[in-house]
Amino acid sequence: MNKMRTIIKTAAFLTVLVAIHAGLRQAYYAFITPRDTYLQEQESFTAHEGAYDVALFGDSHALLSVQARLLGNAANLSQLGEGYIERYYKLDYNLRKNPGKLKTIILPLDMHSFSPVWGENFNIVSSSRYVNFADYVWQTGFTTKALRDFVHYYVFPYADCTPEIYAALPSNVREKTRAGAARFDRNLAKTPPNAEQIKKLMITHYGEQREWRSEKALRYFNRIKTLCQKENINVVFVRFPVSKLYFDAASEIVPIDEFDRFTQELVDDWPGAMLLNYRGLYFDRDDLFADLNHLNFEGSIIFSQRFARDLTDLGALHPAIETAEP
Amino acid sequence: MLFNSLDFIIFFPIVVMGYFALPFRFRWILLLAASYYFYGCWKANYLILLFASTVLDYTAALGIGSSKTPRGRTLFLLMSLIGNFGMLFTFKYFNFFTSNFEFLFDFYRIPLPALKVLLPVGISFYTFQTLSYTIDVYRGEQKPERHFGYFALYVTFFPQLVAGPIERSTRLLPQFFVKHNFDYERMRSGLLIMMVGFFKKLVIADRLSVYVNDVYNNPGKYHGMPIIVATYFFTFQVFCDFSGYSDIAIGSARVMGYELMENFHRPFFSTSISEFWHRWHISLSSWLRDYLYISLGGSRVSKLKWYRNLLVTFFLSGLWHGAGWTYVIWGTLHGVYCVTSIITQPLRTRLHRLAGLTRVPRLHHVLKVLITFHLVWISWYLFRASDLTATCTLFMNTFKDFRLFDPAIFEPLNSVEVVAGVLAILVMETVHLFQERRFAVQAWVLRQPLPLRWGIYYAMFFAIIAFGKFTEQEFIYFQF
Repeated sequence: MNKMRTIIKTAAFLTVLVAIHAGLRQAYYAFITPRDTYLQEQESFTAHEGAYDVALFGDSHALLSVQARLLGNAANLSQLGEGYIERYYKLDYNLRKNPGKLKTIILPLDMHSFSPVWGENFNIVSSSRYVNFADYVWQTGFTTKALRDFVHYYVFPYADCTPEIYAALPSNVREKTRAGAARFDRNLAKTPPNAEQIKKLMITHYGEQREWRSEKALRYFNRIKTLCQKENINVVFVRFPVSKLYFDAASEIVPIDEFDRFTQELVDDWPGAMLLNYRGLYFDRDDLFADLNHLNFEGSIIFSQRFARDLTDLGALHPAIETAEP
Repeated sequence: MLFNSLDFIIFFPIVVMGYFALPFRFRWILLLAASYYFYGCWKANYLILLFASTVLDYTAALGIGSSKTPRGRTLFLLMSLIGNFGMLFTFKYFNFFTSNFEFLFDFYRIPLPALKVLLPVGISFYTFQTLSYTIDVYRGEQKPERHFGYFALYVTFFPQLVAGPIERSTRLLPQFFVKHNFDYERMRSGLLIMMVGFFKKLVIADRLSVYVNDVYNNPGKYHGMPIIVATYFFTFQVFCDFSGYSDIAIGSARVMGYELMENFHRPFFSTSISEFWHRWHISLSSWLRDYLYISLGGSRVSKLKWYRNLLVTFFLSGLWHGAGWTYVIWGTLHGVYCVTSIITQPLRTRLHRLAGLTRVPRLHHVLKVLITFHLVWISWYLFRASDLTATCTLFMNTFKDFRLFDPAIFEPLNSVEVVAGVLAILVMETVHLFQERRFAVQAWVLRQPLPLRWGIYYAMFFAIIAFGKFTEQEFIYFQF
């Protein structure tokens, strides 16, 4: 009898525990995550009625180079540090969640896009909203880390939520916007990086091994291709602008001719795909860059207008509804 | 394996279920295998050391027990001492020793030997534990254990293997011979203690460590208040880290029916340095007291020898903590505190009387607590800094560009994290304050009506999840 009572009590205790957990999880998704600026972009994409002409799926280059409002009926779903694996899952998620909303997508073909460290980048923190756990395990293997990530990001997303609470404070949202704007205001011509900073960036993009081509990233590129063909989505590939300094440093790692041949083959093998090459567009305009490989505010406006014109010429975009002078 | 890892969250319930499911005569095998696995998860190669230490003391104790002459007993004791200290010296102190005698090696043109080995986790803990067993057998306070399995389990019992409490054989060994049936109340009490430990480690220690690491790993980066705040934070970090480990160890052992000794007794409420050491890392200070300080004569000798005994004990306590001058000076500083306290006792008593403090005992008590806390606080500069140069830099920078409301305070960690950490400390110390006033908090919780009791459990559980840091940081005392 006593044993039975203990079992019932334990079961009741666990039931309440699970109920509180569900409540906290819900509260986290309702009040904390919506403050995330990227998620706001995703939410507005979902809430938008009708289809978009184009949507960008890239990393920080695409995010900072293109101001979607200058393109017109466009969305910039790019995310910092995104690689082709994450990109596949994000596209897949959006196609399922927002069917018929995508007509043309923009994908990057930058020099670092297929490097192992970048192309295979699979950040569970940002991906957990797109990737189900089975896919995640398939990606990473059934390791302790996978299990740990599962518990943290899928079961207890509110675990260690102080950084998110901090970021969600109204004063910090303002501060973040201000800091972002400040970064956007920088000028590479006035503050050129030193050799150490360039070396550090090369390691971030190509790793200590200085490799530029990952078969795994390429597999996911091909999965995106299958997905787009199945859903009848057009693709425009873009080589985003980089500074001459970046290009020179990266050329020591990436054999440019081979890389260009390789990416051109990818484009040629993709029926209907087009490539816009802006890599060297601003080689003599360091003043348009915030740093080695990201355009600043002025640069992004000039580039977005140019990009809008080219997309319109390609027939992918209707004329921009808003224009701004640089 | 770390207590604060997912591996342990899976490992522990499996061991507990297996433990209670198995017949009593096989339980030691399960616990021994689990303990070896627990240690092997860190570095399987070093299991050999653990095994060697076990065999050495098992043999030495049997030898002591079977020796007919005092000489024979002493020889076996020496064998154990040389073997254990030899192992400790080789793996922990060899490089420290050679680097300090570099000039001698240079002078005689002897190539400087260097051992490229990783410090075995918990070597100081299990070496001292096995040594205490052999010494107890030598002193006739413990019979030599004939069952190798039980003895091996005493050396390697996983809850306290890598960071204590350093258990005495007289206390822990007999518990392995007692059959512990599953007990709901005991399990609940054990889990509660574990939860407190996790709260201390994940919510307080690991959160504060971000701040402390930023300041202490970059000695020239900050001035004034951030260094002061970091040192206060380190005071609570090191306490929560280590006492958190001890709580998890005590709690997990209790779930299976074993009682481990209390290792921390609210040390920040101490009114003197000697009291602090009666409350801080009790298992080590009592080990040093019983096997070193008293062997040297303790306080029952001339005053000068008493001071010497204190200084030697604290010097070795510092050396036990780490092979570095910062630890040695840290330990010696505590010895100096104790000696100074004894010497100045009559003067201080007179001063207190003159100042009228004896008429307000509560204020007097609070002042003593504050002074002791800050004497300990200063010593953490040495304990945490990477070397003596960093200690000096940090200490000097404390007084440089000092501003009470320095915005740099929130540079190493954002305001929400700092507030969360400080609130958690306040909660912990409030509970300690109640306990200090002989209010049995755990018993009070267990007496409450079910909704309130469960509310407290849920609050603790979810506070750990929501505000804990899950980066699986090692416990500070692992390195010792």
